[in-house]
Amino acid sequence: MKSPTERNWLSRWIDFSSGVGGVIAACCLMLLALIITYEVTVRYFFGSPTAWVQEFSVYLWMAIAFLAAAYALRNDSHFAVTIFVDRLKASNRRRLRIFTHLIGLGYSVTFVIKGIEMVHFSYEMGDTSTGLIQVPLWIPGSLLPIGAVLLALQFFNKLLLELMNKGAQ
Amino acid sequence: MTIYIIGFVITFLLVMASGLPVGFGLGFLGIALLTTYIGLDSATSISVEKAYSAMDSSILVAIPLFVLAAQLISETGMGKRLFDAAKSFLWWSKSGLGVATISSSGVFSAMTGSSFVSASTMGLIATPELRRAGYSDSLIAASITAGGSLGSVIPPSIVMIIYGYLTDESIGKLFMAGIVPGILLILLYSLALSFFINRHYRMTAPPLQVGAAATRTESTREVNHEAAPAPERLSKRKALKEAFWGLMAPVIILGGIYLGVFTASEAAAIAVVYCMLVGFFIYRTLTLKKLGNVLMEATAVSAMVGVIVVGGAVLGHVVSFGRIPQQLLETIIALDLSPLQLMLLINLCLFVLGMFLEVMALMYLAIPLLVPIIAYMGWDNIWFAVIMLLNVNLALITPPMGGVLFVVSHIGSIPIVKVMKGAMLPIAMILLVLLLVVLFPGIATWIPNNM
Amino acid sequence: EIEIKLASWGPPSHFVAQARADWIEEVNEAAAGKIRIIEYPGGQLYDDKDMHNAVARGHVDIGVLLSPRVMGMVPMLQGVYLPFAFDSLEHVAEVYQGESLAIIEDALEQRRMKLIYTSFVDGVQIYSSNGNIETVEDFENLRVLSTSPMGTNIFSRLGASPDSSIPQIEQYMALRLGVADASLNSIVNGYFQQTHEVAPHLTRINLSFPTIMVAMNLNKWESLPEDVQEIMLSAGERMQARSLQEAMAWEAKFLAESAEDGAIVTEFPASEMERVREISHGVWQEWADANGPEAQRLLELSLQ
Ligand code: NA
Ligand code: NA
Repeated sequence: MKSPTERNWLSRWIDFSSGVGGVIAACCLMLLALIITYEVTVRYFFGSPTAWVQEFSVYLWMAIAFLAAAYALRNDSHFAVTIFVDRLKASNRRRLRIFTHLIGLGYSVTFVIKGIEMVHFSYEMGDTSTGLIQVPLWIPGSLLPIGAVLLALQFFNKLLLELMNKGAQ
Repeated sequence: MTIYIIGFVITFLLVMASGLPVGFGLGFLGIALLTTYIGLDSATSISVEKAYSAMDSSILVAIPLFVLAAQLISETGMGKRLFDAAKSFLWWSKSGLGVATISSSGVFSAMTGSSFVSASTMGLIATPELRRAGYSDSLIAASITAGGSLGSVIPPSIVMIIYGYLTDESIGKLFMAGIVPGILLILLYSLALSFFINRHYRMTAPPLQVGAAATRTESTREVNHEAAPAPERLSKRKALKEAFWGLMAPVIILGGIYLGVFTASEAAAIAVVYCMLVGFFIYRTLTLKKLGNVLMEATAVSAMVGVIVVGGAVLGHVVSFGRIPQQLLETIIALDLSPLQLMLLINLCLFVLGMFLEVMALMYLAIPLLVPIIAYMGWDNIWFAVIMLLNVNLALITPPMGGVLFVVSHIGSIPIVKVMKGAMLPIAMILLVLLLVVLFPGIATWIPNNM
Repeated sequence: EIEIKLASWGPPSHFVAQARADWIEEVNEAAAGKIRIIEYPGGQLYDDKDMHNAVARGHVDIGVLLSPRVMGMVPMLQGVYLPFAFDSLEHVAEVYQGESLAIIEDALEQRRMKLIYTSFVDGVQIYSSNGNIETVEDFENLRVLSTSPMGTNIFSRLGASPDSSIPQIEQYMALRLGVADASLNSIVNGYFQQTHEVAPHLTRINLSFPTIMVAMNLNKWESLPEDVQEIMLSAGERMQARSLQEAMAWEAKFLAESAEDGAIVTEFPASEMERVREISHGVWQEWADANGPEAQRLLELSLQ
């Protein structure tokens, strides 16, 4: 990746948005550990289990995974098989990368569009969880398209950097 | 159908090799295939909603927590102290650390019931220590994938609970049935690993001592260190004292689970809080800044696992939708084979399917298909359950689609080819146990039948 | 010939699954040349948690719904699943007829689902690890694994500690290890899930009666020729009647088998049941108040 000064404001802004997703996800992870510990404590020592921890822990897990997907992409934390790609000529490698970034962009845009459709449907149907607190399901559902927007932006960013990188190769 | 399958395999391999992160590649391939069945609009709707419901699962909640706990264990120095203690006791054997890794993974898998969780945790804790001891990448991979693959055989196991539910079998008996094969696997893994580790040291130690391999200076020192065990032996007591709080972690977790204080997945959260307390107040190696970094790192790993879960769910859905495994099995049953031939062929099919599918997809696909065959052939359900579990374990570590392989590769920064090479050892051992169980059903059925 | 995809979940040897297989065969024979139903069993495509959404969305043509799982989307179903309101399976079968059935069907259709037929299963009982439940006082501090909101609410009022923090899949281990004292399951399902292995004290209390519904996406249903619809409905009617008989026979059969496996079975006394109903009544009424006049009517019909 280029040094920050060389990168334009758009790229910096996108990286910042991925970072925000990552920080929120990290907070959710800390919260997840704390609420489950709380649940165990009140159940074991006070004999009064909560009715919400199990349900909310699943929502927090989804928040972690969806919101941090773009952050992980920014940091190249997603697992990829690169042994074949590494053997290609630099110019071909660049072409292949442009191609895979495009696929990634298409994939995440699909999740944005269809994710919004899914959320809209469950809002229309008034679908709620069957837990004690009947959470409207469009709320946790929104985590998917929100995460996908961040992801689409980050793929776009990578694509853009690769395209501008032509002279350097 | 043959052409379809060959086409699928080739496309699959191309997507995997393209350098696109694997999770995205699997999902993309799944959507593309489903589009050929029902068109783009429906295919994308179904896939995205399938992805969401796959993530909406309480089983997965343990993943980020155990990843975080594992990173805290290594960040606070608990992991290093634990391994120092193990080393001071296992000074006489160079393969000791590898065997210790497998045994700890066995305990860990037993607790959590999840191979993913076990592989990522042990990967984080053990990889740096094994590397320092001079293990090659494939040997590290062999130790961790072997340990991780014990998750669903050693009770308690989520896979067994699902099997019991779908086939009307006593879950208690299923748990018992996993014990002998599980122990057998641990023994075989340890024996095979010791053999390869000793061979590795024989082959690498001399040139390292001459200093020919300049890139591995650190391991050189460690290997020499290992060769002169005397000072380590003296520090045995000290090492134990140092490692006390680290050793308490599994005691608290296992004790808590078996005394009924918390469930296996709650143990992950307890472990996180425990490690934070030890790191902040006892070892004083943890700072708020470090905690922030560890949280961000664990979050990124969890997101990676999430993306793979999503991709695997989307691809698994299209495989179910296209009824490919159905057709495959129907063809086999029509062949009119002897029971042993049929059993071996079913295993072959499960093995091949397992190469491309994840655990849950394999279970949900195979069990409804196979239950009528088991009944028709009059096979022992418990016996078959163990055969199924071993196949499920194989699916996790057989290339090209093996979640545990990806996790080990990523966490240990080991090239995937080396991980796959290392995984050949547990794969071979599971196949051996599988063959033994097929030939001698008593290995699986003796304990549950004599309960 | 139109291909119709039917997604189901659960053990293939369950009587409801076998009746469904017969239903499919009957429909496929009678409607040969027009439609053909293909089953995707065992949760291959969707499990009980996701099925109603998949049917409503049209991602699968026909789906098998478990009534308590659908209540988030179709709250009216709670009216035929009121805890402690029904004393027998026959009572529940009566509610799945006439005016109350029309209210449920209408509520499902508003969510783009056509109810084809309902299968009855035996009622939900209490499995506990430390002794049977004999009086209302026995609920005091009982750590019972509850999954439905209304059930959780009533158990709290009975003085129990209902615990919804443990997912279905971990309930077996939670009981085994003593994280919880009791769980709720029907006798047939409890036998399939081996609940009596870990919580052998089985108190027959008929907490509630889940039903298993075969439902079709409404658009898909409306696109079918009328004679095919008729074939599906009339075959369904027979399966519905059959499931009522089989549910009772299976309950008796598995009750005997559970007892043989070591389950200690008792009946919750009728006098104590009156006290439980009194406490529950307020909770039912709160639900009806929150869900409008149709819910109120359904409550009246259910309590008749
Ligand atoms: Na296990
Ligand atoms: Na595999």
